[in-house]
Amino acid sequence: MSTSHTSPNDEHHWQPLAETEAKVRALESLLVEAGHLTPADIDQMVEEFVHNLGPMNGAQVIAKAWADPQYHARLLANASAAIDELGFLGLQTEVVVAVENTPTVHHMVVCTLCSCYPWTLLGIPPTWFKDPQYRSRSVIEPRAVLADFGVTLADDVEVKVWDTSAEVRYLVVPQRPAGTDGLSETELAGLVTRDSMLGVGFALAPQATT
Amino acid sequence: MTAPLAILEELPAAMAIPRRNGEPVFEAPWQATAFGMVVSMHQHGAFPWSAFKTLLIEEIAAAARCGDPGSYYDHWVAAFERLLGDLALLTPQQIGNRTAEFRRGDRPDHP
Repeated sequence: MSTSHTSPNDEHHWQPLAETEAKVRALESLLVEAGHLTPADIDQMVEEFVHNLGPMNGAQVIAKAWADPQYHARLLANASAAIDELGFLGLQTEVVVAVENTPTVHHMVVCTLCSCYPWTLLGIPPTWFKDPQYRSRSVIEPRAVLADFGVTLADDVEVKVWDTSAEVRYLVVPQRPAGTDGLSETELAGLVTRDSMLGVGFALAPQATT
Repeated sequence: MTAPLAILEELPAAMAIPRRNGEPVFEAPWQATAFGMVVSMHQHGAFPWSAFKTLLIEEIAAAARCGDPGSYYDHWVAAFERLLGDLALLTPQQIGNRTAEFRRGDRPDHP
């Protein structure tokens, strides 16, 4: 097995926090410690209000790339521009690099230092993405982490771990499932899960129809 | 329990949260976190919505008097900080110390 990692230790994306942002982090950590809140409470509340962010946007990008070879090429060459074509650049999603899973390479995304995440494409980061365990183990033993998510790979598949930074977000293009030749973009988008776009899952198989 | 959207409708129009197509708009994740903390603690019964609303209106009005309208979520956070002090849930010193740690990068981490 070979494992590469873009930047395990450098602190390339720590920047001094603005006063209010630091205060919000302070309040959040103090209130969580004191048991007045849980991170899940906060995420749930935001999700209740915000419906224009979410993995359905990322799924649309992936489905279009599967269905349209020219869009596929544009996405891999310049993901930010290709995503902008669909109107999904924005909150925490300004510069995006698309990495494509193949039978020989499997990509996964982590933010080792905090929880940078492409909100417009994937919605609110899931709690596990912010978990220190996920963040450190993804670098040290990515295959074990993938196995926890139910993703087992052949030994000759290379695993690449991409460390999100304040500047760059990564979007995994999962492999298109077999048996989807006749599907429309909308139907394809239904097979693209959030986890598959982070590399900790596969796209769903189409419903068997007889 | 009041429906979350209903409590937001209670804010005077000039002080309503920024929205686009009826949805709250956040320019950064910390704004969403600030929003989520206040609404969530209210929903859990930590304070009546009117207590937060009164402070938010004061913060926005005070900033306007200074000639610096500032950003909406700066006021939101300032109001929340005062409310937590009023409720004796956190002291200004606790908040100040922890904020300084985050600013220095001693806690680059999420909680």
